[in-house]
Amino acid sequence: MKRELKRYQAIGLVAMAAIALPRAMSADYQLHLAAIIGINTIIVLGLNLLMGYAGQVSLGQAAFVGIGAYASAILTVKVGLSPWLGMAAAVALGALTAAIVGVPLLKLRGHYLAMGTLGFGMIVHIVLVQWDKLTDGTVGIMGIPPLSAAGVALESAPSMYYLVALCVIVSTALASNIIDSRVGRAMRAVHGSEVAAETSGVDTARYKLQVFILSGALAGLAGSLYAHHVTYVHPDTFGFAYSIQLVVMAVLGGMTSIWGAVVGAAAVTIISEELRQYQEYSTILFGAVLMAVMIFMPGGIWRGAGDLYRRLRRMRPGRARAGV
Amino acid sequence: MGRSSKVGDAASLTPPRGPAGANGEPGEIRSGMAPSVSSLLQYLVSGVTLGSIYGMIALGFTLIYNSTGVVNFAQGEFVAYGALVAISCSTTLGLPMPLAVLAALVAVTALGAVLERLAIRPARGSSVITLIIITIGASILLRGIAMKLWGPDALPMRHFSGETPMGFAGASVLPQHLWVMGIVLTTMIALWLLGERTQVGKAMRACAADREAAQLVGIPASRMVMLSFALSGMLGGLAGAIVAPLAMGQFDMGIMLGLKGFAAAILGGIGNPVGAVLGGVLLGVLESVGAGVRSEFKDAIAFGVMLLVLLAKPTGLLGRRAQ
Amino acid sequence: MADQQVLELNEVVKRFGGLTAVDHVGFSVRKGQIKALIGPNGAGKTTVFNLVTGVYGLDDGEIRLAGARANGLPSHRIASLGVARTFQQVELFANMSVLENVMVGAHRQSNSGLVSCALRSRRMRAQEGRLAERARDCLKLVGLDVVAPGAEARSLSFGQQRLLEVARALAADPMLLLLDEPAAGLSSAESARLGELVERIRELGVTVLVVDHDMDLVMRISDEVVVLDHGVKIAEGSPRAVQRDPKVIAAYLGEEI
Repeated sequence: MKRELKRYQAIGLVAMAAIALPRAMSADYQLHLAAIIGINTIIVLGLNLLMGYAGQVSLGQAAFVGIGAYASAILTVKVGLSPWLGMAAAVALGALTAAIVGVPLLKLRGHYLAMGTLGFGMIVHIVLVQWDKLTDGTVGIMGIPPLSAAGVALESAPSMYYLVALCVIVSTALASNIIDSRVGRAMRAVHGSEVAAETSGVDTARYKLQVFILSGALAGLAGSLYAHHVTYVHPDTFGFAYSIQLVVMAVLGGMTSIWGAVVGAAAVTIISEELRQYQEYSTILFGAVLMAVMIFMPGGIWRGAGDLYRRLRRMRPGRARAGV
Repeated sequence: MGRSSKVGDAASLTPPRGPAGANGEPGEIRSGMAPSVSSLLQYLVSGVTLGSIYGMIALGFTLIYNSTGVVNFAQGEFVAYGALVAISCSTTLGLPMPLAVLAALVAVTALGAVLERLAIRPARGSSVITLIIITIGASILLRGIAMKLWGPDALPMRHFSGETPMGFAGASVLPQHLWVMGIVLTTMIALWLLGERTQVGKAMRACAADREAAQLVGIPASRMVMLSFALSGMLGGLAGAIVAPLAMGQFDMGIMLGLKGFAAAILGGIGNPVGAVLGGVLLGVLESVGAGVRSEFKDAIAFGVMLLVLLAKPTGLLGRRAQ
Repeated sequence: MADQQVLELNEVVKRFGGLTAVDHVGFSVRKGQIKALIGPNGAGKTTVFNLVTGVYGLDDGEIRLAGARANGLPSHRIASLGVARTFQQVELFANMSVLENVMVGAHRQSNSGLVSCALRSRRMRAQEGRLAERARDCLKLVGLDVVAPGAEARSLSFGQQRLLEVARALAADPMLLLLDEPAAGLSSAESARLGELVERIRELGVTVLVVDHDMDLVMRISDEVVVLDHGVKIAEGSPRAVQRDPKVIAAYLGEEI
């Protein structure tokens, strides 16, 4: 019970900070960036569950985001459905694709699974480009209508930000609930020792698939939010580079913690934005920073910062030398 | 939100064409039509050429995977650097072709060793995903440096011995095609000899088969690891240098080449050097024929084949390493 | 009422390439028994465990659990039929806490799915409470209640980790408990406590099949002993009878230096 209280306190704090944020930020641009961070966080939450908790890997997550984004785009722009229905379809399609692809793919492990998801991601990208009757190919789909709540269109930067923040908070709460539950324990057991999990009665194949589907659904939701936020989708947004960026966010933040998802998404998004002004050097710096963090803080920034903090505390002057 | 990943065309070596005309003018491009024998032969030529390159890249992957269990996502960048260094040496510095190729070889071999020392060795013992991300970071870093040094545009390179196509049963074969196939074949034979006849080669194989046992008999495993990275660099660099006349050199040509090289390694059976080369050639031919039939889905062929292999028999055609 | 056979092996065969690890082995375990499976190294004992728990598939023969045919069932289905086990090399969920490890053992005792867990329904919370309580009871039974339940499983000592595995297996409320070398690496004091624990487990109504090399322990606690050598059953009977069986003595002497 005490642990539950602590968890809800933490979520509540984050919620309050999220709500207060627009007041602190004057520029629409900053709110736009915050919304993108939120969208990335939702995807990375799913990746954390998949990679950090269940011990699987996905180098093709951008495909599910793209499927969600295009589902929303096509259904609202070309078919004329209500954006909320489109969003529901995006989530469902993300989940469904993950279910179909996951059954054969999750039989693989380690590098093979990584490459399998990568191949899947590449193929989805190619389909988005080539099936231009449906997707308008490299032209992309423009003019995606905004979502509306109670008759008010959610077009302004703050309103979209609030919607995204709400989705982030809900997703975080759900993910946190799952981790500390029977299903979450089963997933973590699969990561800890698959054979012991199986002989304890855990249907490992089923749980791997469930967490994969969940990550697909979350990615689909994020894709839909992206489509309505940016109002334009293009296949190249959802390619291999984005899949890698997402994995980097997950690992950098710390795969085995929910807060790592937020930290990782924020860190990578902000760093990428900041680096953009250095143009030619942005890639070099990004690559260098990435390597450095992975070599020296493989548990991610969240844990690395925690370790650093603990180490600094122990080195405080006045403490006896012993024990450092 | 994400940099675009080009569904790049750096790996297209010859467009699917009909037979060359009597004066050597290129034949008309056919696609979507039923292939004739001569155009099939054409696809075979460009397919085997392309496949040889994939095979070299796949072999590089396999060497590193065997010695460290790491998938080197920067392998494609070795190829890119090989091409770009060779281009710089021959075009800008005016060095004769053999010297330019040699310079590219040496440079990328050194690059491989440096990568191992700076990025892989400090992270030894880390988890699979950590190592994957480190090599991904390395590939991003190398791409950035390449763009800074050589700019974003595609750069041409002189063919080794002219561009006069030779007719062969209705198919048009460029001298460079023969160069590529010949050099790759020679390299494969040299590597085989290295593995079978020399101490170093045997030591590397021993290390790949069973690291602990190899160390017990006195083989310095960490040096073997460095060697495998250097050798992979050499293979990648050589591949880049010899394919540059056909495909041009560009800072980001490594992305697709690396991924497809890996697909080839999986097709042949990751961990098996012969499989790597076989998978490479097979993939090259499949891609070439497929592109001739439906050029839009050219890139999908490599990944489709890879997925098929992973789902049907993950250990590939000649796979020996059980998971 | 006739004695129930909790476990029956009939002419079970398992081959690995050219090696026949288990060669037409047959025996059964009655309800409430403590039966031991012994034999020199490489006799095929752990392979038998892996066959019974579905980790390996049979090449020939039959395995029955409480009369029901269990050939070819996946491990988690066999677990739900009431079989739990410990491992020779401790297979804990190192990334989870002591309590969580045991709660996984009780996985089949509850059925909240993804949705009710995500929403933390009342039913799910009630089940969680029961699971945690059951886990704590099992920890108490094996003597691990002195350890903080929130401690990381990997921080336990080796002997404690072995006990944790037993607690996890018991959480499943099994009808049959397979112990794979539970005494390996334990001191003689710890071994004696283990023997008492196995007796307490039997009193709870659990049937036990144990593999071990510690002959003192085996002879003390088992009702019956089965002896394997190179995949073949060479003797079966009371501990005393088996100890004196010349075939058994030869098998062990043959492998001793």
